[in-house]
Amino acid sequence: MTEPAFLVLTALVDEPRHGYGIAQEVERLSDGRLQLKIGTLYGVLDRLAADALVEPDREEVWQGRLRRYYRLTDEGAKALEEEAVRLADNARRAVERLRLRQAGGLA
Amino acid sequence: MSVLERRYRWVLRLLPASYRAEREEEMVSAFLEGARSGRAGLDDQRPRWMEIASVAALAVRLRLGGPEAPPRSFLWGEAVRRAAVLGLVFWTMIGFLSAVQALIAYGILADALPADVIMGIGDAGSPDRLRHVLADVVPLLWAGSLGALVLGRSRTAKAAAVAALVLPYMLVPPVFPGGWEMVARWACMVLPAAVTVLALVIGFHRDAPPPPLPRGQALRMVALAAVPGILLALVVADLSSLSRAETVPVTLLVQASLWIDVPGLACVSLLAVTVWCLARRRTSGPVALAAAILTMPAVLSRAATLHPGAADSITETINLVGGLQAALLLAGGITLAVLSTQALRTAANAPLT
Repeated sequence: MTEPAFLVLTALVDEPRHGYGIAQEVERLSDGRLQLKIGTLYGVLDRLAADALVEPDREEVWQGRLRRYYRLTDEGAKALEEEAVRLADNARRAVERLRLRQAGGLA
Repeated sequence: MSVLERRYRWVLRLLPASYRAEREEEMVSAFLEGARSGRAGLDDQRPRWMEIASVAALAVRLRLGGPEAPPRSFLWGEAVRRAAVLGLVFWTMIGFLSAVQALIAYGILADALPADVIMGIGDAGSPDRLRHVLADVVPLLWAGSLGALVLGRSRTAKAAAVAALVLPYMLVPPVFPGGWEMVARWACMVLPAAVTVLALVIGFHRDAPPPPLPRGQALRMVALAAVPGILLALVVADLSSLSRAETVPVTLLVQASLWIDVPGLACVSLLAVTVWCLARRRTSGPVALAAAILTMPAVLSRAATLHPGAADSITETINLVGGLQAALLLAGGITLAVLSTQALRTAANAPLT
């Protein structure tokens, strides 16, 4: 799973969001590091929808413009959790090894 | 409608009509909300290049689809991917031809040349000579690109192909004493390789990765392209010997060499593919479209070597044989275009699954 896909799924965990809402949330989640361009965002949404990890929720008209909301599916939540566990395991192993290295250096 | 919105909608025209019908309004809405909040800049009257690039990348992915895409998009995708593979096979052959020729010409491979024949550029052991030898050997990177692609490593394949295209000109920059006409001729000569690289870069993406072959099969595929290149280098060396011996008329040698230079070999290869497509016209759709894509650059590269109006016998021979090849390529191109149109029509009428 790519980082943009991971963050888009994360952005949809708490509530359904529309395109720009997802882009904003991804920017927030990544501390401003990842600013999804609209073409990239919809490429990611297409792939996630094709894998049934997200699905359209509802449509709203806001200031005369269409907002289509997307929500996380149960399958999407499961995939996100698996990926989060995998990343957390990797991070934990990296931290353990770094501590061992520091301990070795100090000895 | 604001200027910014009009321009963004114009950019979105890169996307297929069916996709725009589904997504255009929400994409415009998301883009304008971002612009209002300062993501694109309040005073901006045109979408930023990164926004345009993201739409272009999406358009490429949609128009050159993978196995899950609609039939027409998949056919175009397959055609571009096969153009990349056919191109890489061809340029791998040329890479070996160039490298072995250089090894013979500079006496690295063996003392193939008589001592009184001065070949190569620069003095032996000089940096100048090293640059020229490297420029001739670097095209072997095409083989690396083909190998990586058939092993399923498209990123490596793309990097190697770009290096194979660019490095020779970085090592030995082209000079254009004849002004813009020479620049145009050079651009036409570079075009076939550039089209191959472009097809490789845009054809293989996340939705359409190259299917990896087993290592042995991948090696055989590279060898299949390498062997003709090595044999052709030996033929070129023989033609050079004949030329030096002056036992064969020069015009005859020129005629022969025009079939084994790069545009000549492209002509022969594409005509062979055209015949193959005609023999299997029912199933050759993507290959025919791929060969059609490669034909126009091949015609231009051959045309770039012609000098209409020249009076000497050698140039007349070049024009005659080159003109014949360009005509054959055009005829082949028209045939391929007809076969491709039939395949595209069939794809357009195919039910969406």
